[in-house]
Formats: sequence, structure tokens, C-alpha cells
Amino acid sequence: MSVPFARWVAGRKHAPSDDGHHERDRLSVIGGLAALSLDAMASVAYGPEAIVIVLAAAGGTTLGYTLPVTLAIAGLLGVLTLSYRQVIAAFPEGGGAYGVAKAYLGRRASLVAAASLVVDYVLNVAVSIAAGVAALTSTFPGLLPYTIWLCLGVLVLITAVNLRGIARSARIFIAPTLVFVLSVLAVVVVGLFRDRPVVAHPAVQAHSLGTVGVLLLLRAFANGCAALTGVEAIANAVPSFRKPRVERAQRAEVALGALLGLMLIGIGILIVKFHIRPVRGITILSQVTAGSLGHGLGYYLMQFSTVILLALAANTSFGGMPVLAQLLAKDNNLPHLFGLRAERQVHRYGIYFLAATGALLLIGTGGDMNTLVPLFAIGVFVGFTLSQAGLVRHWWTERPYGWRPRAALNGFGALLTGLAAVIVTATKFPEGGWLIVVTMPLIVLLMSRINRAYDRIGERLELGRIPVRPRPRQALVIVPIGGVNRLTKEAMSAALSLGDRVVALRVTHPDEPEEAARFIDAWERWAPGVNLALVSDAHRRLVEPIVQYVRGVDEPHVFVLIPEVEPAHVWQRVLQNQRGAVLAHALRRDTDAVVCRLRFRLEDRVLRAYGTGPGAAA
Amino acid sequence: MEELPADTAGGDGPGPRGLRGFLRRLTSSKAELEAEELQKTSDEEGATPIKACAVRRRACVAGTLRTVTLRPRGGAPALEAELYDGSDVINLVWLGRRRIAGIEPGRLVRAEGLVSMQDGRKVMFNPRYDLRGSS
Repeated sequence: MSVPFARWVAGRKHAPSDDGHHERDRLSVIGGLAALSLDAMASVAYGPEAIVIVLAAAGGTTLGYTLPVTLAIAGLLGVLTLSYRQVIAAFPEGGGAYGVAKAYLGRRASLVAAASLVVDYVLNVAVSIAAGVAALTSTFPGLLPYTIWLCLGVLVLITAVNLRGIARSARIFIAPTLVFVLSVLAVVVVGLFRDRPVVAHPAVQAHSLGTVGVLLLLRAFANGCAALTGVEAIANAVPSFRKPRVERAQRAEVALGALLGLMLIGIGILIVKFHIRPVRGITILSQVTAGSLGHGLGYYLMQFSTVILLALAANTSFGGMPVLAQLLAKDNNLPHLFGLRAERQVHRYGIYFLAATGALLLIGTGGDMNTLVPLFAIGVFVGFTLSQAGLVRHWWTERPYGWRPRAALNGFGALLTGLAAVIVTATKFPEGGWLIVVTMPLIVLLMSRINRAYDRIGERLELGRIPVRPRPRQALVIVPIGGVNRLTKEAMSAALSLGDRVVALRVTHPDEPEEAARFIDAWERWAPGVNLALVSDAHRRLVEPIVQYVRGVDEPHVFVLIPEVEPAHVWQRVLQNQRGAVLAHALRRDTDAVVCRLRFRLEDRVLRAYGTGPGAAA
Repeated sequence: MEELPADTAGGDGPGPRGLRGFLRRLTSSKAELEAEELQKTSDEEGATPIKACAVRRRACVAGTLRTVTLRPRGGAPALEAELYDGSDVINLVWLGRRRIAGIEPGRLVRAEGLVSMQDGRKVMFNPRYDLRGSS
């Protein structure tokens, strides 16, 4: 990508959105619900489908179990919602699973939480885009063969929008979320009053009537748990709410839990009522909508709001990743580069990372939502469990008034989510869950490696200790020169202002005695008043003898000042040999000398001002 | 190094000969090889290796001048040179002289004088010197 294009895409630099003093710009309950719960709401599009897919695989009769499984998930959602109400109260500064785990469970647990968050951000991009495109292709089946291209197209669009920078206003999100939620509720309400679906899709007859085992139900449950992703988003962003922040955030969280639960149960009921089975190329939500509203305007409205909502849900990852990266960098778990949030470039790295990994996942799965969803829930539940467990620890150590029931609630939540995490991991392991099981420890390992490296650096730099007073030391300034000219003069002046002990260094070649003699002659006539060291090299090398000389100097402080010519035009660079750069590199590698590079500019005005010709050849 | 007499380059120098010697020469660095050659020359001159020179004793050393430092006019005139014989370096200082014809870097020199210590380095003030061929 060329630089001007990248700059165009990136747009003008925005001022850092430090809206700490503008309470008006912060989120209300509705705004927060819209801006932060996109991710959770959007999971209605793929959660119920994930359940049906598993149950349908066992045969037609088992589909009746959709409702109990959905109810179990809704129950878990209820516990999670109440638990996160408490997380909001206990951690008003936000931070989410990573913050809670860091405060109460130690660094290792916090790294696991961070790894699960990173995995989730990436998967959220892939799953949301795949689900959005699936909604689109259900509406227009003609687009089905182009699924993967549509996925990548949406990904490119979201990436470009994020590179350009988006206004972080909650108002943009309110309309699509509202339309989506209202549509789903309308679908559910209308559907409940119908005896049979308006439009029924011819389902493939099930071949085998498998037995309904506990394992099957567990697998359906585990797969459906993907519907719970995004519940934690509000707890992560309490500081962006209006005052009183905690109350507003808690209300938003409860509203989210209630709405999501209603939608899930409603769709679950309709799935059973309409005898919906998975049909190739048409999503379950699309079938439910068609069954309830028919193929009318309402259907298209529903499908389009689903597509838009899912695209926005994919977008939340792009917003959340830099914040997490910054937190991790601040704790020395990621390169410090990611901590510089003002640098637009850094956001760009995060965005490129998300886009690249998301694209890999989409291409690897062919943009198939039902392959991606099983990967999703593992990380989410690890995060849930860690933050709940951290909170139990919080109540246990602080013991405020009435801590027992709260600790019990969080403990129950931790137990349930931990159990769910185990179930999800065990049942999904062969279907791609192993990928997550391998990736997460690798991320943790990488981050602890980075952390240890920073620890070592900090040890060497004596961070946190006050160093002894600085004192000047005897310094020797070595100036490698080639001849006696204007450049040499500039270099000598600079060297003499660096330190009073200056030595000019000239490499001579034994087979050119006349040249050396001429140089010494010119030097004697110039008489700059500094020592001149002559070194000989039989092999006509330049860099090695200088490095050897610098190494042989036994001084506490050695400066090497390399005079160089800075050409006036880029094309003139070819006129210079690049020995300055080669020498500087060799000195940095092989000696402890401080390397200074003096640039002599060849610009016309400088030459005219001093009235000298360009006699400075390196 | 190429101007060394032919008989010293091949035969009776120190170090193993044959395949082992050949392998050792292959695996040692250029600087080590140069140091070895210089030590041989020093031996031929009947000089003491600089490493073995005792302080406050007269000694005779031989090797190449690695660096020659010219002092500026105005200060106390002196000519300094660094002599390397493969075992160690010694600074040769001619007080009262600004330049000496022939004392230039790369020159093979044999010097005789009193060895003293200055800032942890061996120094010989106003040594007697013989110029040999350049290396």
C-alpha cells in the first residue's frame, strides 16, 4: 500500500477523545445498551442455530429438546447477568476479566484471561461476519456461491472504516440495535399467535433416529453457549457511562440480560413450534422470520437489520482490541509500542492483526458460520470463569456488609461457567476446539516471555531506584577523516566542543606512501591543534582498522564522530559512498563507543553564505 | 607479510606441522595468523616478546608500527607510535621530536630502550630504533 493511499485511508489525525469532562457525551442506559451490547444481541443470529445444528444431526425427533437446552442457556444467562451486575459494582473502573484476574488471581491467571480475550476478539470478527453474510445469502440465495468473497468484502470494508477512524458515538448504534431487537421481538410475538408457519422450508428427512443421550444434549448446550458471548462488554466499559455510572451500567446489564433471554427463549419456542430444521443455505433465524412474518417487507427488514447488526458486532472487536493491547502493554505483557495510544500507527497494527487473522479464519472455514461457532464459546467461558472466581476472592478478602450472598452468587456463577467451559472444551475438542486449546497457552507463553524480557531490561536499567549523581568523565573524541577540507574542519569544530581531547584518525595504505605524505603535509599546514593518529592497513580496508583502533583505546568515554556529506538532492546519494553508515554499524556492533554522525549539508544557501565550493568529498 | 624470507614461512617456526597444522591454520582467525607471523619475525630479530618484557629493564623489541600519532604544534613536541609484535603492544615515545622520517604506520621496526609503565600500558621513551622493510 503506497503511503499517500494509506494516509488517505487513515484520514486526518483525530484529537484524542478525552471527553472526561463532558458528561453529556457519555452513555445513557439506552445508549450503553445499544453501543455495548451489539455483540451480545447479535449472537441471537447464530446461538439458536448452533443448538439446532447439533440436535438435528442426531435425527428429527430430538429437535424438541431445543427448548430445554435454550432454557438452560437462558438460566446460565440469568446467573451471568446477576454476577456481572456485581462485577460492575466491584470494578467501577472497568477492565473486565483481565482487570479482575490481575487484581485477585495473580499474573498468570490474568494472562490466561487476556489470551481468552484476544482469541475472542479475533473469533468475534470471523463469526459475526460469517453470520451476517449467512443472513444475506438466506435472503438472496443466488449469492450463496460467493459466500467467501462476500465475507472478505465485508471484512475489507470494516477494516477500511476502522483505518479511517470512526466517530465513537453511541447514537449511530442505537438505530440498528433498536430495529433489530424490535424486529426479533415482533417475530416472536407474531409467531406465537400463529398455528403454523406462513412459509415452511422443505426439510430434508432425517435418516436415522438417534437416541437422545446426555452427551448430545451437552453438545447442544455447549454449542448454544455461543449465544452468551458479549455479555461482559458492559462490565468492561463502566467508565463510559454517565453518572451515576454504576447504577446506569447495572441497569443496562440487566436490560441486556432480560432482552437477550427473551429473544433466545422466544426463538427457541418458535423453532419447536414451526418444526424448523437446518436447511442448507438458509439460517434458522431466517426460517423463523419467514415462518412468522412471511416473505414480506418485515422479513427483509429483519434480515437487513441482522446483516447490519452483525457487521457492527464485528466492528466492536476493532474498538476493543487496542484498549486491551494498551492495558497489556502497560503491564509489560506486550511490546510497549502498543501502549502509545496516541500513535495512530499502533491502532493500525491492531487493526491489521485482526483483519489478517479474521481473514485466515474465514478462508480456512470457507466462511461457514457453523464451523466457526464451535470455536467461539471456549475463550468466552474461560474469561467468565476467571472474572467470577476473581470476584469471589474479592468478597472473601474485603468482606463488606452482606458479602456472603454476593460471594455465593459469584461462586455459583464461577462454578456454572467453569463447568460450561469444561463441557464446551470437551465436546468441541474434535470439531476445532483443539485449535483454541493450543492457541491460548501459546499466547500466554508469548506474553510471559515478553514480560520476563521487560523484567530483565528493567533490572539492568535499575528501574525504581535513584541512580548516583552524574559526573563528567574523561572523554576522548575520535574523528576518522579522509583529507583536509571543509568537512574535516566542521568535524573538528564539533569534536572540540564535545571534549577537549580530540584525535583525528587517518587510515593509510603502505603501498601509497606519497598520498600519506601529501595528507600529512596538508595537515601540518592546516595545524588544527589536535593529535593526528595514523594507522596502516595492508589490505586497503577502512572500517576494520578504525574499529580496531577504537577498541584499543583505554578510556572510560569514547566518542566517535563520523563526518558525512548530506546531499542536496536524493539522486546525489549515489555520488557518496555509504562508508559512514557501514562504519557506524560496525562501531555499534563491536565497540561501546558513542557514535555521532555529523551531517554536512550541501544545500546551495549554505554554500553561498560561506562562499566555499563543494570540496567535501568523503 | 608477503616479504618474509621464504624459509621462515614454511619450515622451522613454532606450532604443529602437517595436516594438524594446516587444520589449525584454517580454523584460526586472520588476526591470530598475523600475530603468529609477527612473533616469528620478532624471534628472528633476536628480540624479546613484548609480553615477556619486564618493567624497568632494558629490552629489545621488534614488530610493526600499528599507529603513529603526531602531536600538534604549540604543545610539547613528541612523536608517539604503537608497536605490536603479536604478543602485546608497547608505546614508543620520542620526546622533543615532531616527526621522524620512516616512523610511519605499517613499518617494521626494531627498538631498544628502557621499558616503563604508564596508565597500565608499556612505554619506551626515546628508544634506539632500526627501520626494517615495511610489512
